Amino acid sequence: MIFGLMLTVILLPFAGGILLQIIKFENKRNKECYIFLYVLTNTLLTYVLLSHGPTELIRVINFAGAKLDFSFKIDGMSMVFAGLVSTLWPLATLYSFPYMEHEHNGRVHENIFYLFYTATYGVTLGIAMSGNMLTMYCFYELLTLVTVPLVMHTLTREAVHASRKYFYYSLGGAAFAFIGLIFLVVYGDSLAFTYGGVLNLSQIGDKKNLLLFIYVLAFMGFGVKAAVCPFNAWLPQAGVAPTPVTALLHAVAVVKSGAFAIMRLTYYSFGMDFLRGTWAQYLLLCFVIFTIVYGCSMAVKETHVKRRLAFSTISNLSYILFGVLIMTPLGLVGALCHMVFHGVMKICSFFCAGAMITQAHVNYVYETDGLARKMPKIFAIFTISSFALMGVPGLCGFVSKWHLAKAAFASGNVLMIAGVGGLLISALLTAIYMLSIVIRAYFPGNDFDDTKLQNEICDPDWRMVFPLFLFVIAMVVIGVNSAPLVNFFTSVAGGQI
Amino acid sequence: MRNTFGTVSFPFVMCVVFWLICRSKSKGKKAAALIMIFATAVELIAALSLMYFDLHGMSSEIYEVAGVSGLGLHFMYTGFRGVFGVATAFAWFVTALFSYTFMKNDTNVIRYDIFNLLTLGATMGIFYAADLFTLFFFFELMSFTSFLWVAHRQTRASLYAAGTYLGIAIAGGMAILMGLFIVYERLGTLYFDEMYGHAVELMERGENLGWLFAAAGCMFVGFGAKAGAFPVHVWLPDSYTEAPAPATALLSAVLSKTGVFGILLLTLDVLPTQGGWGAFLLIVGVVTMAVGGIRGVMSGNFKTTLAYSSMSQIGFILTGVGMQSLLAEFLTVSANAGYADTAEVAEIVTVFGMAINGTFLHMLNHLFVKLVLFMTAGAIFTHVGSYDLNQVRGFGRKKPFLFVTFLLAAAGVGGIPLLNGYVSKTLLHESIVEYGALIALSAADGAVMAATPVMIKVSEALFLFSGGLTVAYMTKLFIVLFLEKNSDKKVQESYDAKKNYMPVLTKVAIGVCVLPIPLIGILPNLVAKPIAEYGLVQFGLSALLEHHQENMHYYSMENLSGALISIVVGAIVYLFVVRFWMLGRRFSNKHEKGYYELFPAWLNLEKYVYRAVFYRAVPFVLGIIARILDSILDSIVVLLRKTVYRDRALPYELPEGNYITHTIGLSMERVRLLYYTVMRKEGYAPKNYAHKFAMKNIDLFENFRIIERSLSFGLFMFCVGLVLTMIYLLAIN
Repeated sequence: MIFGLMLTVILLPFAGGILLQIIKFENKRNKECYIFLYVLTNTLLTYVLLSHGPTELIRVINFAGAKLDFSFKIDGMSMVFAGLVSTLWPLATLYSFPYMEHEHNGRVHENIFYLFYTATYGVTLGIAMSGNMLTMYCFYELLTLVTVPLVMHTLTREAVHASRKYFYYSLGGAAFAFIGLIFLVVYGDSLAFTYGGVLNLSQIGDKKNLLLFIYVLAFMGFGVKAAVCPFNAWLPQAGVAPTPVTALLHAVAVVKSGAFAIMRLTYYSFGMDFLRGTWAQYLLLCFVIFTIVYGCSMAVKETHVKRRLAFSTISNLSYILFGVLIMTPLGLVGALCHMVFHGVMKICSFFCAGAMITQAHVNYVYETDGLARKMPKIFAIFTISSFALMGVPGLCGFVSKWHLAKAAFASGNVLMIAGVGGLLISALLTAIYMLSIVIRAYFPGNDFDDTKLQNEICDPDWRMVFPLFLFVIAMVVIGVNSAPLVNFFTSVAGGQI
Repeated sequence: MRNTFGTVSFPFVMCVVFWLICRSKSKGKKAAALIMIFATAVELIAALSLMYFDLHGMSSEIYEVAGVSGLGLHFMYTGFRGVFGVATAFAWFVTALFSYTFMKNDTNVIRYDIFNLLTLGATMGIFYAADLFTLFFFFELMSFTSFLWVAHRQTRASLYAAGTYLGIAIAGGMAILMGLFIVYERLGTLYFDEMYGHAVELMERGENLGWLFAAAGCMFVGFGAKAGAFPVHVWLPDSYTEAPAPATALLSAVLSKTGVFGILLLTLDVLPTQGGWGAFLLIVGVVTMAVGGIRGVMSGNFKTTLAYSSMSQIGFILTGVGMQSLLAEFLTVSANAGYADTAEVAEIVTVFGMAINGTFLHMLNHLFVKLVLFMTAGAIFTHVGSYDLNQVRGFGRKKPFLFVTFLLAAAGVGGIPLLNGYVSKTLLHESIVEYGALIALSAADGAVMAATPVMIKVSEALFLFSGGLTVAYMTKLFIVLFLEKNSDKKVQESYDAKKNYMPVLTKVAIGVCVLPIPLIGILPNLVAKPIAEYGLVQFGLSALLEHHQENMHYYSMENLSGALISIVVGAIVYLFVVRFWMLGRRFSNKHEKGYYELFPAWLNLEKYVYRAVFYRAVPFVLGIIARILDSILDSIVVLLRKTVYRDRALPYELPEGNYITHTIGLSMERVRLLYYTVMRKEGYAPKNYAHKFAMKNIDLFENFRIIERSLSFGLFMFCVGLVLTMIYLLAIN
């Protein structure tokens, strides 16, 4: 029964997308209703599935070797990731309807776009519910394949270039991850995700350094999707995709899949006890801390709004990886917090940027002067999400930052404390790159000529504002009362669920 | 209204109410101002009621708002908080009265008022905070909301100032957060009440205090920036000058005190009895007051002078905080090592009390004085339309109310006897002098302290000198306003003709603030001492002083002489700097005689150091690194693509021959061409080697094929095989 439900939620979005190509709809409204309906159904089914709680490992197909099988499982981590994804997807779909009307070239491939957009939903759930490394690897590759057409959607020269880059980076990364998979097959007891790791220490013997090296390779391989420097270049470029894609995929689903895979790799395959205190941890920490500061610095320099947010994502993803690399349950709590909270904050700010594009055709920071008067709701929401991203206490960004710093200090390692310093510098830079937009919009200066702005610029319709509104509520509620969520994360990170 | 949380949250509630009212009513600038007066009045009553309940022994417990950001907000009440809570609400109330007319013709008043209320709530939250997180929470909030004050006028200059303000506030906030993390990790608590105990335990265990010092250093950046301590004061002059006058009054009177509150906490709770920290604070304090004083004297702008005056006075306060730390160290060291008998310990405690009371009173005095001065400046601005001293010149003539209030406030902050500044400055000065005497004695016993006698001597001298600078710049303003005449006769006439220069509400607002100035000064032991006793900060060691306060002889010759020195220094500085340097023709290359900024523009720390470093140098260097890293992977790909993975040249199927014959043929062709060119031979004709080789190649391969197909070749290969087998067999055997 549970397995049937799993297969349903993975395949339903895809099947729905296929049907979309076949059925002829009378008008746009019906079509949108249909799309929204099957996405929403899928979300509800996912909730039903998750409410059953953690399950045993379900083996589906066994390949030649005893260790190689295709299996599914729901544990705490799956619940967090699947919960996040399934909550955001219907909202993003709702947002995408009015957005796609404005998108250049939008009408032509709209059906194809929605096919891939919803198919990605199923694939991401597949990643979340994979029971072992092999299954996750397959879905991970599939994710690359189904998202490439989305990046390419506008079919401009830029978009084609960006999607090729995305494709190459992802496939290259997956190849490194594959090396990790092979070594896990050889040196592990099984491939199934087990809290604490599956490595067979007696078999490893004196090859510890080799395995650490493999871990670094696999980390960097999955790290391509999580945009660790120096594998980050695809992410800002992929911003040419329509905003629903950039917001949902390149701020949540795809990049968080990378982070999620790294969590699985670190805590459920290699095991944190094996890795803690080794050179591999320190080396990767250096990369990650550097990325935190680097992403923010680039965001400050970038003047294209969406690309700026993409650089910000690069930095924030490394917050998550920083939490992962602390290699304690506390660190994982911080990482999970930031995975979820950043998802909400970033999708919110991306949607605001998308609204600026559709309503006012604003792409660059310097064009936002004085816009707040014309689009009060969007900019109020954007301001709140900026504050949340900066980590102002009382909003959700602070909670995750607090837990990350707490974990780092608890470990007492100098490099990690330096990492906290990195977090704070990055918070400062975040303030600069987010607030510079806010301040421009609200305070264009006395000499600003209002008439330069077109009169028809206004807030978008409810389908775009409503999801944003929900996100703001989420940010505030989590910020004010984070205890239930954090308790849940703590039990996940402790391996109880 | 008995709990502190109500007092803190009331402005936030009011803010929503205010917004709803003013949204529905379109006319309401007047209504808005009235609501503001009402809201701040209620807040003042609430703060007073807290104090009333406390005085009657109904002390309130720590109030918790659980769960905010996972840590919860905590509020508490102590005397110090009570006094500053009341002072804060009072300051907001009088500025609301003042704003009634001042903001009448301004734009965006509703927005200004909303953020004004938010800032009030945040400031109350800071003073009533019971743990470091609550303090940080409201401190951040206050930084963001007060940004609107500085940016209010939206001119290019004010936006520039606001940018600096926000940048430093956020950087400071992050530094505080870092300090907070470290403190939480080291001390295991964020409650103010528990911090001292934990810190002392840590010291008794002899653990390394490096991290605590790092934490204090980080937090000092944030708190010191808000207070206006050197070298993080750079936002202060611009922001104070650009914000509207009531906002500047609040910035200077109240918001700077929140920074001092944080520094007090660091000094007495996080790093108690660490003299090194005290010495650091002492140096920062002395430098701040001297730099602020010097810039104040050299400025040619009314409001900027007052802004630097604020900075300088904060320097005095920081000096006091530094002395507290040094004395606390001295107290513990001498008590532990047994250098001192009980009488000496009692004396040290007395001096410690002077430092604490002096700091507290100077904070309070500065609050009142700056409220008066900035509101006066605002009132003048409404008529003159500028803060330039040349324009302001002569405005105060024949205006008795302005004369009295300004004189009292200016003389009060200048430390003239019988006014409030004299009392607090005397206390601070005495604590330095007595501490100097005490350590000179104990140095003979071999006790080692963080501060050397020389340092204390220099500090004392600079203290008196800075006091003189205060007198000098206040004299400058006074003479400009009341004694000199405007260079333009018509303007002077119009100034003289203004009788109704201040509406009643403004007069009330300023008048109320002036009252405490002579009151504290004339009756220090009756008025100042009980307030100071009640408002004991009760962080760390200061709790010792609860019932240990003595009357001081403020008007003894010894104490008066300090004030006298300052006044004489002030007169000399005024004569030389303002009269000869600024106004004298000799040094000025301008045509007109007048006041102008003496300080060279290229010494601007903010513009040429901070902005240059953070806006130009750092992004430039990081940019280069980032660009290299950004392109490294791509360029590897490109490099591979251009070399190893290069596409074959199209068309790659050759018409004849193969790749080798083609290459050899072509190169021989080229060699031949080269030979002809080098030897300058005529008559070059291509010999088409490539074709020839290709033909040869075909011949060769046809021969091979013939051989391959022949029987004899087969037999030959068979023989080769046999021979190899033989050799193998032989080799085995």
